Amino acid sequence: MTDLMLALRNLATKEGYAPVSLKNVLKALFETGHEFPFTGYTRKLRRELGLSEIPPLTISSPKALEEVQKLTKIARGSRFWKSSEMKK
Amino acid sequence: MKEYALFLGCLIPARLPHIEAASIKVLDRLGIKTKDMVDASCCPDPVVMKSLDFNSWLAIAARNLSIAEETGSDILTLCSGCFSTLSKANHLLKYNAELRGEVNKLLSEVNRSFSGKISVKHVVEIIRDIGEETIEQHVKKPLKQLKVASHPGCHLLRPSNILHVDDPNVPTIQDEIVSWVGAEPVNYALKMLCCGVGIKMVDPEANLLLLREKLANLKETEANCIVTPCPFCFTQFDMGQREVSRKFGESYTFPVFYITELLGLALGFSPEEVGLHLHTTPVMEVLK
Repeated sequence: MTDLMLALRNLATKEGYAPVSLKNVLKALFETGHEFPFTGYTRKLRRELGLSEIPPLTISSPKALEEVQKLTKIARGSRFWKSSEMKK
Repeated sequence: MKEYALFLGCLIPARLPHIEAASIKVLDRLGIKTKDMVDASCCPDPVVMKSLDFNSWLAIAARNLSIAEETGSDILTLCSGCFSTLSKANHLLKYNAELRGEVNKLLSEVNRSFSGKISVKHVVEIIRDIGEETIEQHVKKPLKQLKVASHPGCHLLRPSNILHVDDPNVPTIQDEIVSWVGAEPVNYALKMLCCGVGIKMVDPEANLLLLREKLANLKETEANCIVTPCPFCFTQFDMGQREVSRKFGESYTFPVFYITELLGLALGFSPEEVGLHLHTTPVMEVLK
C-alpha cells in the first residue's frame, strides 16, 4: 500500500500536483543541498558548543552542491523511472 | 576502537547542534569514534522528497552512501529519517542489480559509484550493541528520579524486513537503554502512535491533534519525561507541547530528552554539557 501511494504521489508531482510547502523543501534542497539553512544564530551556537561553525557538508562546498544539482537534473530525466522498483 | 562515518543530515547540525555535540561526547566516552562525511548533503528526507521525486531521492541517497564507502566505515546516523532513507536506499541498491546499474550510471556523471560494501546504523543500535554490562560500568549518576516514556517514532522501525532494528510492534530497544542508566521505563497505550510531525507541513491541524492525543495518554501514566531517538520527534515534543497547550487550553510540560542526552547525564556529563539549557520545555526540575 505504501509503495502504491508513493508511486501515485510521484505521478501527481510529475503532473504538477504537490503542496507548495513540500515543493519549497525540494527547492531548498536543490539550492543548498539541505532542507534547513545555517543561520547566524546557528553558527554562533555551534561555535559555543565547540563545533565548527558550518560542518564540512554540501552547504559549504560549491563542488558538492554542483554534484547534487547535476544528479537531481539527470534523475528527473527518468532514466530509471521505469525500473522494476517503480513497476511494483 | 570502532570508528563510524557520522551522517549529520540537516535538522541536527542546523537547528539542534547540542544533540550533535552531546552525541559525539557520549559516543567517545563509550569508545566509539566518529569521522566527518565530507560533502554529504541532505539524506534526502524520506517523507517529502521520496514521495515527490523518487528518482532524485534515490540518486542523492546513493551519492551519500558512496561518500561513506570512500571512508571505508559504516554510517552512524543520529536521525531516524536519515536512517530510514539511507538504509532503504542501501537495501534497494544492494539487492536490485538493475537499479544499481542505472544509479551507478548516474553517479558516474559526478565521478562516484555505489558498491554496497557498508551498513547504516542508528545511534540506538550502536548503544544497544555496546551492551548492558559496558553501559552500566560507565554510569556515574544513575537517573533514578526519571520515569521515562519512550517514543520510538515511525522511521526507526519500519519497514522491519529492511531495517531489522527491533520488534516493529513491541519495540524495547530504548526501554532497555533507559533501564541501563538507572531510570524506570514506563509503558503506555499509545506508544506506537506517530508524534504527528510528518504531516505538519500539509495539515497543521491534524499534526496537533495527533500530538495532543499522545500527550493526553502520557498524562494518564506515571511518566515524568519523554525520550526519543529522532530529532524531528524531539522538536515536535519539545516545542509542540507549548502549541498544544495554548490551542486546547491544557497544560503539557513533559521534559524531553534525545537518547544520547539521557545517556550523557548518566555517564556524568553536566546538563549544560549535553545541551539541556537549549531545550524549549524546561528540563531541570525533573532531574532534582
